[in-house]
Amino acid sequence: MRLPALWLLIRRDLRRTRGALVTSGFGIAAGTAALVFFLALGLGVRAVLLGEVFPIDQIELEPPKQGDPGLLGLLVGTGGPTGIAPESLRDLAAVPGVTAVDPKLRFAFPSSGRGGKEIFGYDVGTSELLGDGIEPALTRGEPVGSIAFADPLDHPGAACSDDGGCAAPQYCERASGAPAGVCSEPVPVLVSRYLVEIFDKSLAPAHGLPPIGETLVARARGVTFALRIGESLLGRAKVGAPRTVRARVAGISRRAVDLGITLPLPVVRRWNREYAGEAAANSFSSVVVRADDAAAIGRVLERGKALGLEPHDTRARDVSVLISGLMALLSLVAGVILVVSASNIAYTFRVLVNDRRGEIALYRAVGATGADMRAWMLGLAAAVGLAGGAAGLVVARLLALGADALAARKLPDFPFKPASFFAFPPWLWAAGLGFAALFAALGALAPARRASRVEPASALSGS
Amino acid sequence: MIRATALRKLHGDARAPRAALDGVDFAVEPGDFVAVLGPSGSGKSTLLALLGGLDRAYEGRLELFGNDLRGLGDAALARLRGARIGFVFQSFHLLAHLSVLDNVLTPALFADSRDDLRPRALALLARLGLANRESDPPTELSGGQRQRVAIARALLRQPDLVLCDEPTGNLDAETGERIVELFRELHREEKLTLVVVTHEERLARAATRTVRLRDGKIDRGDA
Repeated sequence: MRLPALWLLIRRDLRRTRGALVTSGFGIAAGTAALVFFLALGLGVRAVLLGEVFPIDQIELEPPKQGDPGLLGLLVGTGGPTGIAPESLRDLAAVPGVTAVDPKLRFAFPSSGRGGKEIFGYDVGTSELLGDGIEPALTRGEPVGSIAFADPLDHPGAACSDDGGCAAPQYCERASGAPAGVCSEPVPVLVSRYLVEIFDKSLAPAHGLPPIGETLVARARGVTFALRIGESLLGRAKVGAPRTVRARVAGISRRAVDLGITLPLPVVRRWNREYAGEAAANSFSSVVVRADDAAAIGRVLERGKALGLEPHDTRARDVSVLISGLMALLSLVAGVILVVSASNIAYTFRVLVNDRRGEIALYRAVGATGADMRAWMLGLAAAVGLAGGAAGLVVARLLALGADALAARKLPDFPFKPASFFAFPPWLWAAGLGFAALFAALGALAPARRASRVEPASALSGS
Repeated sequence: MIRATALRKLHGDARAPRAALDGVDFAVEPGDFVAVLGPSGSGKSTLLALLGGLDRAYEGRLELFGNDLRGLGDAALARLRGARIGFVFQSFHLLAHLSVLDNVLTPALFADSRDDLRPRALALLARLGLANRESDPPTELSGGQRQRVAIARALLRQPDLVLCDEPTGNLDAETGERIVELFRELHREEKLTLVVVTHEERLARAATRTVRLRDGKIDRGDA
């Protein structure tokens, strides 16, 4: 049978058997709505958690921690982790699927910061400040603003002995014990969106400060603050003299360390050399490896293990497993609904085939093959499934919109609270329709086989 | 065109089979108008179903248009039926949800060709006196009109052979007479090969040859 003829038969049936088919399609619609709603919820939550909070496509590796060094160890630098050699970075970059290897050099000295008067009206400070250095080239292509993220000493100013000898906002970059320094622009600093979210949703409300948000960072960009290096509330570095340098917010970056500030690597290397010695300057404290999929991260972990490196944080993988498990469970519930609706379809079509034995026999007499009759029933079921599936998709989308609206009104603000908890990629729409048609057709499989086996002679004679 | 040899068909269950046809030898040549006569239960309709390939559970040998029916698969047999055989049934078997025209066009649904058979369907309806009834549902037609719709449906794809099962059985005498006249006309003018199962002598008189069945066996005739 040609397709136009098949479609004509199906259209006629959709008209004359509306009632029974709508009832059958209702179950399919409910199952599809549940499946798509749960999957969209899972995908949405996964996108936020694994895309923003715990990125699954990257892993930070570091040398194993050598036990608790204690406060003294922290201050004097003993017991700290060994560094990562540049050769190890090349090894990791060679792992299939790896798209980027970003080494980091952590502050090997205590530090603190104070500033923010331009935004808050008065200075706020932190008694301990963590900092990482990254290669400036890594931020290329990111909207880090007009302030160059580079070592200010790439273009040193005039010689100086103190900040008074430099024109604001420059400061005198003079290492401990050095006879003289050079005037330097404030050191550019990147922050992460994670840090901004934590500040806006947790710290700002607790201290009565206004949220800075992503839009306000534009205002914060260019704001300078004082960075005290070699000394913090907990103590001083074992070598070098504490001093105050100027830093300037350059913007938000995906490459920035989650908690703390991120500076150009040459700056951190210089300061580590000053306060913790040559070893702390020449090897990296950790490396962030980015890959094109989660599977490649597994290979990175294996290679890292061989190099004596371990993951800094495995929450991404844990969260991924948790979300996948939840999605599987909820999809199973939706699957059960679809199976039940498929059995409903099976019943409806069994009755339909019984009622139409005469019609089927007539079709057989005038030239229909058994396969034609099977195609007719399966096509009709698929059409019912598609219609039910389409209705289910609409219901799922409306439910998601309702849930998002409810969440926006009722849920308190929290870090990374998304505008929508749902993701509806195109493939999800297609999958919803596909599953609906598939389950409907599966339900009609046995009745369709019966239709193809109707004996024309007995059906036409009425026996 | 048709050649049946030692045709045997059993009804009932395996423990108590009953022979509906028992050793029937039968042939139909192109241009024949054969009336198969016999009382109820003599095996007339069973024979017709076998000749049309609607029932494949038989013993003996049955050739249709030179093809041994046993050698044909379901699809090949269906195509042969659709293209070369037309059926007319006692109870018309029209589809109530379709218009008269769509009923006539039913065989076109399963035709392989893309030819538009609508003009032919309309022409057939006009020839059979139903020109202005093509949009009506069959339920609004009289018995005679319904049977003419069924005949138009049987003729749509210009079959070589038309098999009719008690075509006047559900009609009154006058309407039946008109249908008989129609068959005579179709045979005379279109050179249509007809096999008509009936228990009515007036229809048999219209045929060029008669075959009588009794208890599943040929009783008299020139098969």
